[in-house]
Amino acid sequence: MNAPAPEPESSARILVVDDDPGVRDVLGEFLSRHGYQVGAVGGGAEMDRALVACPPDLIVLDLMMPGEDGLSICRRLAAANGPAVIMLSAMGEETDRIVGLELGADDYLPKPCSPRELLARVRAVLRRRRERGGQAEAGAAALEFAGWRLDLVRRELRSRDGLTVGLSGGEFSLLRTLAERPNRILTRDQLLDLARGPTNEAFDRAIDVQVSRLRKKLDDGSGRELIRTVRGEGYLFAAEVRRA
Amino acid sequence: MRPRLSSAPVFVQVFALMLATLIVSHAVNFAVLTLFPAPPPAGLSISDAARALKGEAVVTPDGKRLQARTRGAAPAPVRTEIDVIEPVIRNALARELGVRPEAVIVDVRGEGHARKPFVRRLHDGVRVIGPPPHAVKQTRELAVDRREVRILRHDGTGEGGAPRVHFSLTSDRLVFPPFSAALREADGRWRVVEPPDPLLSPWQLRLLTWFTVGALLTAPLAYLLARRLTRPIRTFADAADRLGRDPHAPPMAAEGPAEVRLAVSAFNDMQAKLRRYVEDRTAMVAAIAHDLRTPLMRLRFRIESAPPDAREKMEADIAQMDGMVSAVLAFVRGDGERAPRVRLDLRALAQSVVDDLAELGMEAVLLPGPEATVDGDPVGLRRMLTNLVENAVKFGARARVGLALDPGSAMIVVEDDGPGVPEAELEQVFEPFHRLEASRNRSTGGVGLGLAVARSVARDHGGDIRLSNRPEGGLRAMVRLPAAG
Repeated sequence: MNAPAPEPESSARILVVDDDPGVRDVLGEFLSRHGYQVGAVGGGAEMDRALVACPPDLIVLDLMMPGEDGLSICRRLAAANGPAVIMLSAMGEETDRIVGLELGADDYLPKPCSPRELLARVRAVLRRRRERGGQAEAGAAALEFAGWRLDLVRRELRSRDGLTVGLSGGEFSLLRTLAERPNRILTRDQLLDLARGPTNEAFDRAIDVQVSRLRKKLDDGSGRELIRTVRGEGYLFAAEVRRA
Repeated sequence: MRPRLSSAPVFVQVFALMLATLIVSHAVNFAVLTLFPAPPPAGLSISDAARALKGEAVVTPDGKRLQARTRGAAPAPVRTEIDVIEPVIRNALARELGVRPEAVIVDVRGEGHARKPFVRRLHDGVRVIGPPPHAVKQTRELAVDRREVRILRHDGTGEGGAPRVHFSLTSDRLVFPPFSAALREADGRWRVVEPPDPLLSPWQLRLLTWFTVGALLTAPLAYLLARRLTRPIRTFADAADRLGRDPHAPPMAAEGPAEVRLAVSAFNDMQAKLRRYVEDRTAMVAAIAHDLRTPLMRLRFRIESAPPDAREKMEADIAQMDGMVSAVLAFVRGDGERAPRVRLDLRALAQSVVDDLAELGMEAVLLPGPEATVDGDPVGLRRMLTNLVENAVKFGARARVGLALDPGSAMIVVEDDGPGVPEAELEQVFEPFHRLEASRNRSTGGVGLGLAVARSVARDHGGDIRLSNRPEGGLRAMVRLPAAG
C-alpha cells in the first residue's frame, strides 16, 4: 500500500464526518493518498454546509457524535436520496450494524477497522452506486426465492417454515451474489470477485466447498437444486428471485 | 386498597391470634361445664362397701369394680390420729353390715383437704361440705329421701362443749372419698375392700376431654392464622433470594403485614442502589472500552507508513487490544436487554461458526450427528459458540463440535485435545476476568471473558454450560439449551 495504484474512481469525492480530529486527519490523509478528493467535518451541521458547497459521492459517517448522531444523519441522508454512506462505529455490535443498514447506510464498518478494509468497502460501495447509475440503492432488505428468504441486513437465511439457518460469512456472500444474479452462469472467477471483493486471496477450490455446503443447507427435501453446476463454466442460480 | 387482616402489623396479628385461641379454649370449657351433666363422683358409698364386704360383686358409680379379699391379719390404719370422718364411716358401715363397730376398720385415703368434708357429694351433683353437725343438717335438707341420713344420738357434751352428733349414713347416693374397709369374720380373719385405683377419676377424665376438644378446636385456627402470618415473610425471603441471583428482577411488591412492607421497601431501595452502583461501574467500563477504539483506529492508519515488519507487529498488538475491548464490550452488553428469539437450526449455526473459524485457519470440525432446533438469539448463540470453539483451539489445538439430543434439550459439545483444566477450577474459569495461571501470558492471554460471555448467553436462553475433563485427555464444554417446543 506504500505505492498506491491509481484508482479508477479517483475522481470520487469523499466526506469524512467524525467528531474526532485525529480520525478525520488519518482517514483524510489515507484516502487522499489513494486518489480520492477528501473533505472532513466534525458534525451534522458542518456536513450540511459541505453538502451544499461540494456534494460528495460518499460519506464516511461516525455513529457516535455529540449533537446529532450518526444514525439520525444517516436516516436524513437516505430520505433525501443523498450520497452513499459507510457507517463507522466504535460500538461494533451486530445490532448496531443491523440498525445502521436498516436506516439506509450502504455499508458498515466497526472501529477500529484496518485501512485495507476501509478501502475495499469504499471501492465496493462506489462501484455499486455506479452500477445503479448513481441512484441510491433500491434498498432491497431481503431476497426471496423458492420459499427461502435471505435477509441481507441480518445476514440470515430463513426457511419457508420460519427456521433460521446460520450461514458463515463466505456462504452468505456467495449466496447473495448468486441470488442477485439469478439464471445467469457465473464462473468461479466472477463469483470470487463478486462475493469477496478484489482483495481476496482464496483459491477457486474454496468456492466449490462453499457451494456444496450451501446446497446442503438449502436442501429442504423437495429435491430441487437451486445452485446448478454448469460443466466447464461455473454455477447458475436457478430460481425466481424477488427483492423485498 | 381495602384494609385486610393480612396487611395488619405482625404485632396485631399475633396478639389477635393469642386472644382468639384463649377465647376459644375457654369457650369450650365453659360449654362443656354448662351443657353436660357432671360426671359420677369418684369414691365409695357405704352400701357399695358393705355389699362388697358381704362378698357381692359391686360396681361403683364411676364404673370401677370393687372386690373383697380375705386376709389373716388386721389391716393397720395408716393414721392413728382419730379424725371425724373415719368413725362416721365405720359406724355407718357396721350398722349396714349389722355388726359391732369394733369389727370394722376404716382407712380413708388421701391427705388434708381430701379428708375434710365427710360427705363429698350427692349423685346429682349437690355438694355438701362441712364438719358433721352442719353437714348433716344440710344433707338432711338436701337429701331427696330422709332415710339417707339417720341421726343416731344427739348429745350436747362434745369436746369443748360443742354439740355432738352420732349418726349413720346409709344412702347409696352419698359417696365418700375413697376408703378401705375391713370386716372381722368369725374365724378372726379379715375381709378387706380396697378402694378402686384412683388414676383417672371421672373428673380427671372429664378435664382431659375438655382439654382435647379445646386443643382440637384451636389447633386448626392457630395453624391457619400462623400460616397466614408467615406467608408474606416467606414470600419476602423467596423474592430476596431471587433478587440476589438476578439483579434485574423487578422490585418486590409491597404486600403483607406492615413490618414486611417496611422490609420490602428497604430491600427494594437497597437493590436499586446496588443496581445503580453496578450500572455506573458497567457504564464506566463500557465507556473506557468504547473510547479506546478511536485511538486504536488512528493507530492502525498511522502505522500504514511504518516499515512492513514493524507494522506487522504493531498491527498484531492493535488486533489484540481490539480483541480485549470487544470482549469487555460483549460481556458488558450481555446484561442488556433481551434480544428477540427466533427458531433456528442449531446444526447450521454450528456449521457456520466452524466454517468461519476454519477459514481463519483454526482447526475446527463439526461432527456428524442429529439435527436440533432451538428458539434463540442467533447473534448471541453464535458469539457463545465462537468463544467456545476459539477457546478449544487456543488451549487445546483443535476443536470438535458435536450436537446431541436429550429429552427437552439440545446439547452442543465442544471438545479439545489440550491439557484440560484442574478440577478445582472448572467452575472458576467462568468468572469474568479469570484466567488459568498457566495461560496468563500474552500469546494465549485474552481478557478472560470468553467463557463468562458464553455462559451468560447460555443462561439467558434458559440453559447452561458445564466444563469437564475428558478421561482420554482434553476439555469438554457441554452447552445445554432448551429444545424448541
